Amino acid sequence: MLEIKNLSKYYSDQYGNKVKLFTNISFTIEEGKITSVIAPVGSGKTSLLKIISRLENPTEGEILVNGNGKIIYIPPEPSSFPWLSVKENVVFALNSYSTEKISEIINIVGLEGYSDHYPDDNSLGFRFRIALARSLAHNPKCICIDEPFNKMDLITKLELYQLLRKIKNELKTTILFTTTNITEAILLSDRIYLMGKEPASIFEALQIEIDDPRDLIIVNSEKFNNYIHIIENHFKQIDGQKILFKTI
Amino acid sequence: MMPKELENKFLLKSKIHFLLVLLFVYVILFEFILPFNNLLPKPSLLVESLVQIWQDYNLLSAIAITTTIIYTSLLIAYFINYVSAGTTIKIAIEFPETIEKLTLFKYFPAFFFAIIFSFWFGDSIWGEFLFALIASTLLVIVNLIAEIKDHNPVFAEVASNLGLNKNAVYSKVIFKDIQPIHFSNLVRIHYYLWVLLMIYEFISNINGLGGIYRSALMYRDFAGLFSIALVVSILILFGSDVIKFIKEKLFFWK
Repeated sequence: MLEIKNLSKYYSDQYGNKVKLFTNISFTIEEGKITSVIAPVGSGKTSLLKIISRLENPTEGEILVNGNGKIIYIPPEPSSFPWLSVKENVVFALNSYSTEKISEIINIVGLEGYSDHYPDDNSLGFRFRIALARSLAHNPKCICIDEPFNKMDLITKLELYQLLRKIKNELKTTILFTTTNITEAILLSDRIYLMGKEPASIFEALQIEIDDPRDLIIVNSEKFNNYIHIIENHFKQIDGQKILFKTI
Repeated sequence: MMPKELENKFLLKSKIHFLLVLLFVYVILFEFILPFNNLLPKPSLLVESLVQIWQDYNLLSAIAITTTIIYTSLLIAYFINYVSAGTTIKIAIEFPETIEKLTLFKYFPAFFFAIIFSFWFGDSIWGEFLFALIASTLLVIVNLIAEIKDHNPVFAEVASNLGLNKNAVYSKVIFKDIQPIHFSNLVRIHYYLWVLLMIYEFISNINGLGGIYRSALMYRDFAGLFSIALVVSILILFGSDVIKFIKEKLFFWK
């Protein structure tokens, strides 16, 4: 389990004034579950994930990690190294690894038969799968995924939603991701945190109880729509905030 | 066929057309309308001179000397840079003020160094080689430092998150990321090196292509000056194409 306690992040603007990005963020990430944070653009989602992944330092607060293991960050931009093949990308920065385990991971993310291929600039889905496989190869404590599906087409998105659910169910991997897309969050998550803006803070948590497989059919179900309404209403209640959230 | 290949083919065609038009204008203008002038030699005289310069100026030996020095020094410079890239990037990123101080030297005219080396080593070929090696190494390193700003910070961030230490991030990620553009810039560096070396040979009267220029100028060999320029441009063109070919083969990802 990961416990985020009272995280705050301030930065100085061009005039030297202290600006609060987010304040007193506290939430827990359950092991073997997919947790998401829905927040509007500019609320500090990327900074939050980078702090959790130890890539940035918080101004205040702490992250308590139960047990060992890396917290891997997957940025929104393609991050697989174009000069390495799929397999070389997956074993990147590993001191030792078992070939069978790497092959298994490559197969799980749907890259079977592509071990010797190189990342293609045009295929975001392909590059995301490589980044995911590389993260899994490190046997991570948690994978933090930063708005991964923004520029992807619908078919690729749906395939990757299924893939993340499969990884969570089969490998019991802990995943935290941020999004501005309510439908995406409900389709993927076991728990959703809602985060406001200026300065951002978490104001609501929602447990999602929908059985797998979570495909497009459930998007039209009453239960699913109820979740959407709950989330939309929560955001509407925040004073003065006009937030436009994408649906799928 | 790929669109890029088509585009290249079209560009090559248009370049050849442009060259043929220039050649046509040149032949008509300087062979028939203005045969005697001090601007450009008569085309028939140029063709004659192209055959003669090989014997008159011992061109083959000059080409061998100049090209060997240029390309050997460039190869060694690239190797030195390849081995030390991690350290160079580390210094550039972690101690930018040191780099800032060194940029003062960019105001020194490059040919001054050619003159001072010529003063120290006279007409020695080893002196010329040392000059070429120092010049190419500095040019390659300065270029690498300038290209650091073009690296993709996402790669460095991800590598660091995966547990790679700083030095490994510099050499295995940042250098790898900018390597294609860095290698492409060797074309520009190699043009610059040609100019520097020709100046050096001209000043020191070494039996290279710059030395031949000096002789041609002394003998007021008007057609010879143009013929040698033509040979040099073909050599530079060939050199750049070889560098571009190697870049395409080695750095396929960009």
